[in-house]
Amino acid sequence: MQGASPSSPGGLGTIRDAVGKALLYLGDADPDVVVVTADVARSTRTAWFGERFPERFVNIGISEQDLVDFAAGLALAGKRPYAAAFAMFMMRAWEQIRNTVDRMRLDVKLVATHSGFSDHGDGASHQSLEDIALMRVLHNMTVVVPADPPQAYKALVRVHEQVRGPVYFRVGRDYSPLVTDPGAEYRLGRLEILRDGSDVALVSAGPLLAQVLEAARMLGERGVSAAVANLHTVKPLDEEGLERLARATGLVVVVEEHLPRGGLFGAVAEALAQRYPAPVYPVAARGYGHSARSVLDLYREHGLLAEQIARRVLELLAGREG
Amino acid sequence: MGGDALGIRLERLHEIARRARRRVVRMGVVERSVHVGASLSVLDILVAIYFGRGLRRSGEKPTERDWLILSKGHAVPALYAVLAEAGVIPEEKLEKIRAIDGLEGHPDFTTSGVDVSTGSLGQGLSIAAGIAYAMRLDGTEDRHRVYVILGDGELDEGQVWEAAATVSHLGLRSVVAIVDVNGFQLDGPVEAVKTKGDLAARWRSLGWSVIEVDGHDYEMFLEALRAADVAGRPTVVLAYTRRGKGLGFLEASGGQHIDPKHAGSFTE
Repeated sequence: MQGASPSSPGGLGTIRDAVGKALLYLGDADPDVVVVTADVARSTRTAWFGERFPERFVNIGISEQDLVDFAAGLALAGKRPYAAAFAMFMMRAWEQIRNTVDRMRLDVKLVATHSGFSDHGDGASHQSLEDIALMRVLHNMTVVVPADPPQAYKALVRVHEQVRGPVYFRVGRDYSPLVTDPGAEYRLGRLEILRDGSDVALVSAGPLLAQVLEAARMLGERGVSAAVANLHTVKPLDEEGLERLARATGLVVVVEEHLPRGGLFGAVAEALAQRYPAPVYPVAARGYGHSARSVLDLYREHGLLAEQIARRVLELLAGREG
Repeated sequence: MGGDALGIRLERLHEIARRARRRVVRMGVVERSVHVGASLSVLDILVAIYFGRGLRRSGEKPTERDWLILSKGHAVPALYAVLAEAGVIPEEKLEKIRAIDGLEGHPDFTTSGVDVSTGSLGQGLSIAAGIAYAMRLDGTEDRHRVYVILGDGELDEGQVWEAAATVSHLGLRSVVAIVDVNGFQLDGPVEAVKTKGDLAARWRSLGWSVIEVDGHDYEMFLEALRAADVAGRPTVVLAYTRRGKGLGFLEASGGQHIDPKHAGSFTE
């Protein structure tokens, strides 16, 4: 398995594959990188790192609290650890993340895969719809939600270069259509405009952006000019970029694979309430999921498919006119 | 070392401990919320490690030094008392424990001499494992030690056993866990709150070398640390202690906090 070059990643596979390959690149580039996981080496694609750098790879077993604090110990001792687990089960160690990693501002990168509805088949116990909220409230934490495989690859490399402190890096499992320009430079902390528009701003992050972009195209056919912004860095938040969007459109709709409290919607609403109070609405998970054969079935059930997003935006626009 | 020299050395440790105990009691008098009982039970362990064994406190890299993690962080007054003896914390700062401009009520890594922030129980052994693994990567695991001090009540935390298995599985022989077995936790005697089982058997079953000592007997305790050096695998020292050790009325009650009017003569 070869690590792709960070400038032009190609043949990355799914978004979790891209993370696995980015870790291979980082393993080559930095001898201080150590990867730890909790009996999900193959699922998180960190097994690839383990095959190439066996000394710098530890499988902690099914014990996420130990995983996080083991990584904390590595960081205290000068290493640059990446701890990988399913997003849902990383949350089991929230208190360890808060009290040890974040409080000491340790250089621990939490790589959370299978987030949102992406682990569709396993059902609600495995689907994380609260993790952005839980991580975003931590004082020192950087929260990154890359959109697609190339962005995940570039973002992880950039995070390694730029952040000496705790990072929550949230990716899904397999569903991850290409939505960004693979050749574009990744800019941590800066909102990425994927589509310009003047009537409404759709703000989203992660693989769901594929549905959001399609919704914007559908809205265009109905004469509605919808901007689409990729909020890949949830913390620190690009408040200026959000204010510009709100000023340009007057209506912000936040679409997320997360419950509508405390996640992207919470972040955007908090920022705009202070900088430029504009109407902000969520299109988000309606509650817990359950098992489904396809992530798109869950999107449909929660109103997150492109046509459902577009319909909701039209309702909101009509309500504002009325 | 001859018997006389050892005797002199042990007497010196007792002197240091006497001064450190007075400091702990003073902290308990100026600030009544301080955990005096647990601090006095662990104090001889800290004195033995710092002044009997000696810790290498700095190296070019963080893996070129010894580490000490007070996982039972509520006993931090004992650590402060020992750090004051070592000249790392100024004596006058002790009076400001838990004050807004003073020392933290639980270990905080921004305090000089404190390696790791703790306070939330059950996390120290996992952190120790990560440090020990970094030492292995840097080739220093046979030169330095990672001491982690836990309480027996703390063993209720499931994470301790996650970490105990990790340390053993990876064979992290630089880790020396010390359990301050004082028999009490916040709500009462440890067995009344929750069954602890056969402590030695629990650790042994996971592959640890287990040494049981009187935690107030320096000779025994230091011998246990020497045995840990050559065990070739992770060692846990079950150090049986008395909560409130040295403060008669507290020792008798197994209590945690002190009433200033009882402690007056002791602090002088």
